[in-house]
Amino acid sequence: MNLKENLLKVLSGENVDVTPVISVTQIGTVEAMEKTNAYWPEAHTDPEKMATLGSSLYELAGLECARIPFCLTVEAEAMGCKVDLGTQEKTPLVMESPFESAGDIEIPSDFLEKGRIPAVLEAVKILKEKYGDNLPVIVGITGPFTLTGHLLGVEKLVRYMRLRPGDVELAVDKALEVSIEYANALSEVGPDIICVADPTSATELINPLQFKTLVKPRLEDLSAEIDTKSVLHICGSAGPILKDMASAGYDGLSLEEKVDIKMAKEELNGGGKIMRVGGRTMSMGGAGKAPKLIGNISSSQTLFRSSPDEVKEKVNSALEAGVDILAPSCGLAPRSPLENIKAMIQGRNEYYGI
Amino acid sequence: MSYVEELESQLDQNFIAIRYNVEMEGPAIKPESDPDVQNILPKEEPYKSIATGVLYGDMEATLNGVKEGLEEDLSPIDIINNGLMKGMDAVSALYTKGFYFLPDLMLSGDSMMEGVKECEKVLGHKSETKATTVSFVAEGDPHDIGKNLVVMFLRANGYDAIDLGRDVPTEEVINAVEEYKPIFVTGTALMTTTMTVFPKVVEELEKKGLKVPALGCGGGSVRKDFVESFPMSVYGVEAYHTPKLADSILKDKKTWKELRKEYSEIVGEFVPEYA
Repeated sequence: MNLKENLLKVLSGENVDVTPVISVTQIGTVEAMEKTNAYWPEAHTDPEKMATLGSSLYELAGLECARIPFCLTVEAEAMGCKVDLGTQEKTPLVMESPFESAGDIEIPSDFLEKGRIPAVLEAVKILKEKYGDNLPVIVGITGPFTLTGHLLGVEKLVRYMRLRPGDVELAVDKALEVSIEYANALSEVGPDIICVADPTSATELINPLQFKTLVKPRLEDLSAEIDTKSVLHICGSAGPILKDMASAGYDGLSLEEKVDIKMAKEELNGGGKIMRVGGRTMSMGGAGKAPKLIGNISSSQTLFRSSPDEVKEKVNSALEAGVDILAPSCGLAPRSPLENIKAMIQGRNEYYGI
Repeated sequence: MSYVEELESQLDQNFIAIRYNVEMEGPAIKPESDPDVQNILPKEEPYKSIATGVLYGDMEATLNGVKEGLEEDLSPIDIINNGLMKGMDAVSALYTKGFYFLPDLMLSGDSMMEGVKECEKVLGHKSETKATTVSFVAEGDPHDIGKNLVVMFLRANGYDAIDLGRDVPTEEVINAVEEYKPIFVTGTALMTTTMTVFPKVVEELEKKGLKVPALGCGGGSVRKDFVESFPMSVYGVEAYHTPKLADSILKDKKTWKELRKEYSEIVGEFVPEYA
């Protein structure tokens, strides 16, 4: 089976015999670092090590993709934020932003040469060269709203949503510009999938109506700029924003275990909501062609703490529920055992009798 | 008969266009018209306008109400308990129902805390505290919105809530427990990568022979099963549950085991995680 073709077929809406098992979110684990000798924090900056760790779960466990980078701070760092790269078990964190308000935000003209952006671009090239046409290469980028949170501070951003909505619009537009520029640069080196992760726009943080009016339009603009296949990842209880996520133009949606895949499928495949207006019915838009659902094996519970047998059980029920692509629900915890990643693939194989 | 009523009877309702968002969201209901909120909000002034100010997250209105009350020589404690807190209770109610979201919670919290400060100015000292609690964000985790809410709710409910900040090394937590002897410790984490700190904290506490009635753990990726896999802990679902848990420890001498068992009763609402 050609892993890349298989995955891209699913995302294009074609039928495949076997559901792919990938991860669109962070995949660096301590066990893999030890086995491949590509450790954090060096793997965040060194393209060779980034590529090695990014493909480690394919080499060691049979996961059907390579995925880089391992954090959501690349763009923020290139924008001038101070980032602590962390340790072997600690993901990089934004410590400080140079920007006080939306008006201060300026995109450096040589933004694409700053921070770790060149390293990510280089790592994509290395992976493409090494795995060529067989293994899909996935690159994660920060969604515009999450990047705004990095630039202004999440707490400030959430308060400004009600106090100074105009400022938020301005800041999110700047962040969108950054995301688009970065996505374009990535498209040139040609990963197979770009995954936009926008966890700050989860319903746990903002109102679904704010998502619809403020975040979604930017996500739509961004998806229009992505030439490769695209995936949108938003954490948490995405139920109330599912339809808006689905109609933002992405080929796949990556969802957490808080979302019931079966219900989500039913909701999306039913197409847009029909409304009665003036005695006539009209479609309220929503998902025309429903994006593929990716997920949602709990990374904090199942993959991190459960036994391989429990992982297989969860894989089985996710496949039963009709998930299109199997994946961890969110970034892997660095201490997740390799056994459990293997169990994901084994579980899938057993389901299909391979 | 009013003009509208007269007209309505003549119209074929099938041919009336309802703007799509109105149809989707239903008629706009003001927060204060919600039946639960009406039960919570005080009826008499100036408590009513103070509580309503908090409900709307309107700092100016809240402060005006508080100042008015203080000028009328109302007791600052009464203003806190019957005005500010009632407003916040109403906010929690709307949050539980899914009408309010985090931004609303934060702005209402800001307004309430400013009101409390104003009252404390008149008191001349901090209002008397029930007991000490300690709150921290797990080491390696910079996400402190949840912790800030927990601290805000604890302080608003009369606890001396020690705020250790974010990305707090385990050692610092242990030292704080030793120093302050809190009745309740809360730890929060957003990331899967950082929640592993909680069992370590418990382990270190046990090593040193220190005991707290309960360590409340919560936050983004934290799950109940995980929290209940080690002793001394209780999984906290919502930030506003914290003072209720603390109250039950203080008044009813509840242990972490009992908190786990009686969570829904203690916080006084249906909690799906504990069903």
